[in-house]
Amino acid sequence: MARSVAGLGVVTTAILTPYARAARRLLVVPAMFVGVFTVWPAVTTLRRGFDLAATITDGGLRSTVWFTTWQAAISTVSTLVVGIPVAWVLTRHEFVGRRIVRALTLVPFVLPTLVVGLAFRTVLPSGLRTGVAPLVIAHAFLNVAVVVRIVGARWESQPRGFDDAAATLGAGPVVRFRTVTWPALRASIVAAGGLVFMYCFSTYGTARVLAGPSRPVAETEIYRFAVLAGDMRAASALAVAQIVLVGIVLAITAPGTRHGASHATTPARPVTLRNATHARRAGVTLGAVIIAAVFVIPLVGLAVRSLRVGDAFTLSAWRNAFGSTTSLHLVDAITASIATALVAAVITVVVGTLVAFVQVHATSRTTRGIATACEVIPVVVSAVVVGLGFLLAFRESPVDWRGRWWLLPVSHAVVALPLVSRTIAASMRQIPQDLRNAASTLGASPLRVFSSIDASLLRRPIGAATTLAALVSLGEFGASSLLSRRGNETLTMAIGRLLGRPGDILQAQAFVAAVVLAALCLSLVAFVDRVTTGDIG
Amino acid sequence: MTTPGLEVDHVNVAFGDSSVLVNVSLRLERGEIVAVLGPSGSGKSTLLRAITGLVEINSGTVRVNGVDMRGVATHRRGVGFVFQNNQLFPHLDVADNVGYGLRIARAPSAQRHARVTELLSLVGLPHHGERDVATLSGGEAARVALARSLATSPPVLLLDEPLAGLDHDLRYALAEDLRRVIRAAGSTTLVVTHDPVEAERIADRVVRLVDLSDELTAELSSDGQ
Repeated sequence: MARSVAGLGVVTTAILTPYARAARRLLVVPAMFVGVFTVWPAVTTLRRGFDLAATITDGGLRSTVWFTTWQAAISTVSTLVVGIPVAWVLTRHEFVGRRIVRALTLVPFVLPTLVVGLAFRTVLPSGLRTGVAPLVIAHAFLNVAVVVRIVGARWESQPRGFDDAAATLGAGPVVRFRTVTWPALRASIVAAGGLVFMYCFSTYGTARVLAGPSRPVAETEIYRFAVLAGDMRAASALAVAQIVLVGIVLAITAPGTRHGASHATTPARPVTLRNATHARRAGVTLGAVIIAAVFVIPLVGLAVRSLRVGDAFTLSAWRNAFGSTTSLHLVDAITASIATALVAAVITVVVGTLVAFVQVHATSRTTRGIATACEVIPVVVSAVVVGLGFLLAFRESPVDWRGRWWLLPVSHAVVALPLVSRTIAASMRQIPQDLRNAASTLGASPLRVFSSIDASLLRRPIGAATTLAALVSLGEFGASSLLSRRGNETLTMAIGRLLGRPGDILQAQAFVAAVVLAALCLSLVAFVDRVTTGDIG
Repeated sequence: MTTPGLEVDHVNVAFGDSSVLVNVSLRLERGEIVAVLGPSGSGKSTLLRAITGLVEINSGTVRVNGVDMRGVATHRRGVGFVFQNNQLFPHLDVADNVGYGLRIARAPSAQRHARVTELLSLVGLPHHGERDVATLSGGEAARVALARSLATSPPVLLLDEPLAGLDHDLRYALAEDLRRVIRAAGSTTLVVTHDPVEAERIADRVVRLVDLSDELTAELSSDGQ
């Protein structure tokens, strides 16, 4: 019977020796990269931090870590509470505009966190612009996409039949959720929660604009100590706390990630709204409208705010940004952002592809382990800590690299590496070993097998990964704000600088830069989406 | 005259613009086993789903033991359903799958265990309670699905191609078993299948789906030629 073969043929476990051999040799490149640009700076930072273990008992640092932890916990719970119903609306139903609404939920995720924070600030009532509440709301808004992706994927693959079977056995909607849906989703919810907690714990761009001066989080404090106060020891002590706590969270929740991911099967058919009950139809329609509105309004707010100087609406902030006597050289900042993103994307994709290749094809456990470490270490070390580590590690010969232009794209590559290597590895694993076997039985040499099978099947995923890396770089603010220098200021750096300065026109210009950056990110995504989907048709 | 166990009265179901069931009527006496025959895509599954309430009917009536099911949610209908691909819950073992409905009905644990044991022996799988459902063969999974649906002794039992996916010999052997088990349970039973031999072995009475609806009959016979 045909149904018994469904789902087979996607696992690559068979060993192709030339691939394994290549994997062992290629490992040296990512290992060197992560060693020099992540491990070494992190260790330098850690050593500084340990000098001052006493400072950790310092009341100010302790309360910062405590606040960072609990705001992340509340943000995570809020994100799940909002995200799970959104995932239900978007993955269990088919309705006109579903794809658009789904794409909208991804918008905050592809936008720089700094821009999202600013966008949020424009739509909040003036008394509520900074503090815990706006920070938590913005975190939920940013990370709903994570829940929709991870939990939604699992939900989509859950056959509707289980729900129907439970109903015929007497289970009402609540009981069905508890006994059928929840057990299926639990692992993915834990995985999504862990990831969201990590993002919220290492929050930086959002916190810079929303948390307010009386509520500093770990990352903004590291920045303040290192850049504004010049207290590297306090910065390092916080960085240590950051690395340790994120490491713990990751260790607890990572098994769930793997478990959840291994479940991907054929998607169940979503419910067509036309055939649903009236109550469900009304609920889903209302849900979709609310989701769309919530995701569009802050963006509109951002654009409107860039047109306001003081209390007047004017184009002057925009006009000034293109002028010559101004504190924002928009064209220069755009050029710097794009150039940095290009270099960072190339570095990330080269290193990330190698990491993925080794993970998928190495036969030795040690080799695979090192490759996995190359992917995990940059997750544990947050962007601000990467920046701090660069400052501390690369200032003495033979590695006196202070002020080198390429440090910035390299730091972005470190930040983007895990995302990129994971994306590429997932696609590499999808290539059936038998395709390669077929090619070799037809006379293709190992190199030929790689170029004719792997390389051509990976072209699109690698294209997507390049975009991802460029997006991360365009919006990167954590490492950038520690490495910023005059001369090659990117858009995010410009926003950070302008926000910190008084004056209505400068504030408005920060929003001009934010609108331009948002437009840049969105058009990049739209362009790639068009190119990649256009190929299929 | 006694109230029928299951009555389908001029039921219409349409998905958007396409009519799937047109004026379908069918009547089963209490405890009767009826098989409905029809090719795939003829709306057999839809008929069963309409009876359980998993599909909304546009017009017509479904009655279980004389009670109109209009507005009654699926989980309150007392209609058992054996799904085409069994739909055994992957996170529960065999015993917990069979006992699921009893747990929902808050049956005391001792009673539940006794009933699960009884049903597993009835379907020929004694001592299989702790098995992972993923390890069951096709025939075993079909038996567990049947046991699960019968556990709460539903007044009406529906079976959607219960033996599809099994190989030939096993299928007819299982058909006899199925009849014996259903008879023992006493539920009014409607089974849909595309296989006339299977239908004959399971049911007291066999009808063709096309014969249940005047308009459908006319349409299909003119299409068929």
